[in-house]
Amino acid sequence: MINNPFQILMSPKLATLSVLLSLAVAGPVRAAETGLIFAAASLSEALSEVANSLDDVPSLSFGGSGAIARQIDQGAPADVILLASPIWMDWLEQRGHLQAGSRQAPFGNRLVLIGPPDANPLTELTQNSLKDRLGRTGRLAIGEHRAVPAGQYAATWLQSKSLWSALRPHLAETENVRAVLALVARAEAPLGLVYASDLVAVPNAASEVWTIPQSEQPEIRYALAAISAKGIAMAAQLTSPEALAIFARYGFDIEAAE
Amino acid sequence: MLDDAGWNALALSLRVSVVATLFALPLAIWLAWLLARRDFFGKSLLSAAVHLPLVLPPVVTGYLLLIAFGRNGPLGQFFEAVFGISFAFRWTGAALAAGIMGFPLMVRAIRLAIEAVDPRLEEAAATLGAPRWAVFAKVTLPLALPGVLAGTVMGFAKAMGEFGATITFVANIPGETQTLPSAIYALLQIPGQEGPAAQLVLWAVAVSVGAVLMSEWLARRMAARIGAHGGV
Repeated sequence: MINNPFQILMSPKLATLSVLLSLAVAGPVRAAETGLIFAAASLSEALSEVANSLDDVPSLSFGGSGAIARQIDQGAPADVILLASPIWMDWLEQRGHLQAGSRQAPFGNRLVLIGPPDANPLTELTQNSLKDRLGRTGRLAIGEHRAVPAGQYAATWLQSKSLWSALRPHLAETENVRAVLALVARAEAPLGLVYASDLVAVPNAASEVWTIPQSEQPEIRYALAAISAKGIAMAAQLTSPEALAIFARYGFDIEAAE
Repeated sequence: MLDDAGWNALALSLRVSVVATLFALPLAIWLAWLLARRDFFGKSLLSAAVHLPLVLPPVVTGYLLLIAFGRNGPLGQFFEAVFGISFAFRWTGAALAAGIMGFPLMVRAIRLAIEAVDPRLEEAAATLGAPRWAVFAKVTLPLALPGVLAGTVMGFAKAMGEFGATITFVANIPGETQTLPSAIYALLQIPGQEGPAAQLVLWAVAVSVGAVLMSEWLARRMAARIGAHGGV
């Protein structure tokens, strides 16, 4: 029986517990000493290789751009963030989370229209040719067109080709662009719109059935910024010529750099 | 106060969850009875398999569903050919995912309730000449009913909240597979859509609170009916 409630503070079990708890909480902070990068999921293969080529290999955390932005807003200890779309970077910039002057758009990407691995290329790109390919129940897989950057770009392109309203009822929208690739790879969806870099990262998953010419490509720009002071040097390493060469090898468009 | 997309998502979620619960319930009762009252080879394995959706990441369950029940999956083609039911990118697929995710919760609650029923009551009914189905329908099930109800509400609630398996299996198609959680998730990925998302969250809270209140009311009525027999 404890008469004085403060006695519990001196209980040895509680002391042990609090030591264990503080150790557990302290653990991840040490891991961040080499630097922590939050990045869009579509970058996972390329950025992992870039990170491993650095002297101080940073920790990487991949997720959706929206989720990353909200985590940063809530004080997540990232040093650098690399997002697939400028929209969330604008949001973070307005909220004052970026190191001044550190924001840049180091590379871009291209959209590709894909089909299952053994699909024949389309001979023409019209409403009818697409609907023929979809059949009665097939769907065109894209990222969620308001939420997932690849889906936003896909919607922009379809709108520019006046195909959006006709295809809208035949879409399957996914939570991230790699889910599009999975649906097409398993021939669950006869068509899908993904990044060129996704096809490089998972080469046998799908085949390109229509090449979208450069003039029609929506402007796809990745957004990079430092969140912490340490992140400024890390951001420079990620945009060095050696790093950009790795990104280019994974299908990213370094010509588009600003 | 909800826009069309919000209403569609809410109505679809209710339909998906009700259908998922109705189809899963008889199977859950049967499996719960099997696990509670029967000994057979592989019982532990069966129990583990029932619990798999609880421990697997939902996206894995969704991917396995896609492989099995997709347009090109063996079960998907079987159901299409035999019953004319397709699951791929349809609300039926959302219901299948929701039902499977809620299933272990239903089985658990119902199994515990059946195990709590005194076997001597069942034996007594059997010695009085009742066939096995009648023992179950007239003795076991009524006494286990509060647990069955609890399991049903848990399964329904899980079905309402299911997200990961659903979006992996049947994507996010407004009016077809865009359930309340999918709509909330999509809105949270867009800057400045916190308000509409919060409205949907309020509706999700209202539905779950309503379901729980209804189940408590039903449970009280049941307890009053079976209370005299010393039920659960």
